[in-house]
Amino acid sequence: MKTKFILFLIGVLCLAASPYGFGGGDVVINLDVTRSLDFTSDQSSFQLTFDNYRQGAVTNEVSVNYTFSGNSVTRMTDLVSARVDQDLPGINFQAQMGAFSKKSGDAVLVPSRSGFATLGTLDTGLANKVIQSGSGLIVDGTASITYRAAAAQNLSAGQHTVVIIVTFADN
Amino acid sequence: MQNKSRWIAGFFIFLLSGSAAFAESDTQTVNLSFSIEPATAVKTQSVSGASNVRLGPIVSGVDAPVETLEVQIVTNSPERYRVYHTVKSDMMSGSGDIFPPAELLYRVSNGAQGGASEVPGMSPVPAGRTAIFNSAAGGGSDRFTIAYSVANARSYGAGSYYGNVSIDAETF
Repeated sequence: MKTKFILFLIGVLCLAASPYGFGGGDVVINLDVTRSLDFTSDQSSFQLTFDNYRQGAVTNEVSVNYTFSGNSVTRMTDLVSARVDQDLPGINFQAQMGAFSKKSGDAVLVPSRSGFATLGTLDTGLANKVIQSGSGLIVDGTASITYRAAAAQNLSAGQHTVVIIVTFADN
Repeated sequence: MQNKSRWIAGFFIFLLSGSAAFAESDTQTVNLSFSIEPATAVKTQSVSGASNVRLGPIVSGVDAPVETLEVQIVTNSPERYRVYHTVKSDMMSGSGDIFPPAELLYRVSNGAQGGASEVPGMSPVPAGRTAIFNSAAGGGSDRFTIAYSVANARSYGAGSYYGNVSIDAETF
């Protein structure tokens, strides 16, 4: 009997019917946050006026609003300081740190003293840092500093210009 | 006697030549079965070409950058599937500071082949495992993107933060 060599190939497509899962592996997410220090004020000049020339007279008070934002603030004391570029004979410039309004972060600024501080040509600390949680490296909020001048002696009439330098330091 | 010898010789010649002329073979039937398992792979790659998602530099008060992860589902299965996003570890700096989890945002696009996003708008990345994408009704391969960003509405501690997420899928 003549026969042929026969090869049967039977293909069976098997498809799973039950739910199954499949993974894609891990993905690393990396965030780089740059170190920043941001310090702004809502005005750059103001005028103080003595209403009389006698010793003990005090000018009007002017409040300047500042924003303080830093994300690597390691310093704990005298983060905010101020000085004048020159001493005017018989006139004391004074500054007082106001309440800090926190926007975000984990630390706040608090006045380093009660009342007004007299400013000289060297930095005078106005605010310290209080850590509220975590590392306390993030300070973000606003505060005002109020300025005034006091007559230490009787003053002669005139107009004077002084530069007040305010510093916000993070370390 | 001589005739007899011729006949025998002729008989053998006949046998030899006959076996050559009428060669037969056995019947061989081989039943061969094979199966094709449903094969599915989830591939992820940052659009920028990096093997991970890198966001930054993030500068306080400046619009945050967006980094996109491309997710590709390659499958030979017609079954519907759902893709999940899992936060495996929070973003943490080398000094142990944790990036605020709610500040990490993501948005998922619709699929190029008919799949639908479950996170169409920029939203905080939730903790744990969350469904983010459904395949088209007929399953099949598809491709979509996950865009990551940060809220940047506040100051963040300076440094490099690293976290792990995973993308997986499940038929349903």
